[in-house]
Amino acid sequence: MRHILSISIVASLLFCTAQSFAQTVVMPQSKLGFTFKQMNVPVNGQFKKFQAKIAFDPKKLGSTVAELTIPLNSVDTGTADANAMLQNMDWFGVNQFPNARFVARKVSASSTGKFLIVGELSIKGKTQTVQSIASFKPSAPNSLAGVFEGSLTIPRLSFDIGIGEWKDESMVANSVSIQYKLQLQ
Amino acid sequence: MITRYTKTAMFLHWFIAILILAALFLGLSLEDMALSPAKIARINYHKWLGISVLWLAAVRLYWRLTHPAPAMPESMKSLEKKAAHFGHLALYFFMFAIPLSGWLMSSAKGYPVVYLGLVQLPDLVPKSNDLADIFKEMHELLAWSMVALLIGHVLAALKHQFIDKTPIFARILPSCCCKNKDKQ
Repeated sequence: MRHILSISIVASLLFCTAQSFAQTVVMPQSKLGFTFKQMNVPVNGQFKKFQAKIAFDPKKLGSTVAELTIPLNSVDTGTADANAMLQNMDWFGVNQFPNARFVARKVSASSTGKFLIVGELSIKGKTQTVQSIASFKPSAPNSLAGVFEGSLTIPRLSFDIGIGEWKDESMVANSVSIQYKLQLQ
Repeated sequence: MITRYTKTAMFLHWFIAILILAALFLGLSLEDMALSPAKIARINYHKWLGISVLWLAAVRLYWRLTHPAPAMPESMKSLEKKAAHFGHLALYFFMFAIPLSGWLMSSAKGYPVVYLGLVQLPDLVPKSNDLADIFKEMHELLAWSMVALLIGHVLAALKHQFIDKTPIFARILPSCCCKNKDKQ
């Protein structure tokens, strides 16, 4: 009985590993950045931390797993006072909503060799369905290791990001572009 | 014998003077302001004013090189003339150096200059906090040096006009502003 139990635990662990951690994301080479316009001035930033569970095989798109958790206090725009401000309730409200989360629901191949990802993005207690176009460059033919990258555009106000005096879209544009690059191994 | 600057030179002198003063006061007002939409608007207006000064300074330099300035008053001592020449040269230097250091600072901070909200200027250096700090220091040092020189410029003009009684205002003011002095 003990044996069977331990075997099943090992088996389930193996299964989990195979399912959720088919690939690991190599952090130093991976990046989650964003760009928005402030009085028409493009401003770039990034999230210095995020966790990703990825299982991606271009030949088995139906069983893709892509889940990202982003601690929003790791935001970096390169300016200390802007970083501090983004933690506030008018922006991310990190005390109440520490993480943003993305879960892929459907991945399909597009005609141009790219992938269309439809998923749910949750920030600040709001969940929206979002779409992203991504590409995968395997490090060797048929390898599951490689660079998975893409982008999407989200309306910040749908997530209550930048409210109060920051609501004015002529000051900070509603549209925020997000770029991700995941080094899979 | 030319006794006055051309109308174009007069216009450039006074128009750039207004832009410089506006940029200076806007710049100073940013110092203690918390980040807000109003601050971002002011930063952008400050940049637009600075870039306007930069390209107008280029026009002005071209004009100055192609249209001789009136000779300095005979009453000025040779050392005074040298000081005046050097001062004017330095003011031209500041009209280029201050906007350029601001542009460099913008590039280094990762906030490109979008002139009048319409034209994005190229970044002169890549994003770097260290460079941004250096250019900020430089921008401020240059600006304060120019303020000192501007005070000298105005005091010198007032001295010539009112203490030496040399009617130099007429050289740079349109004739409508100084009719009686014009007759001299």
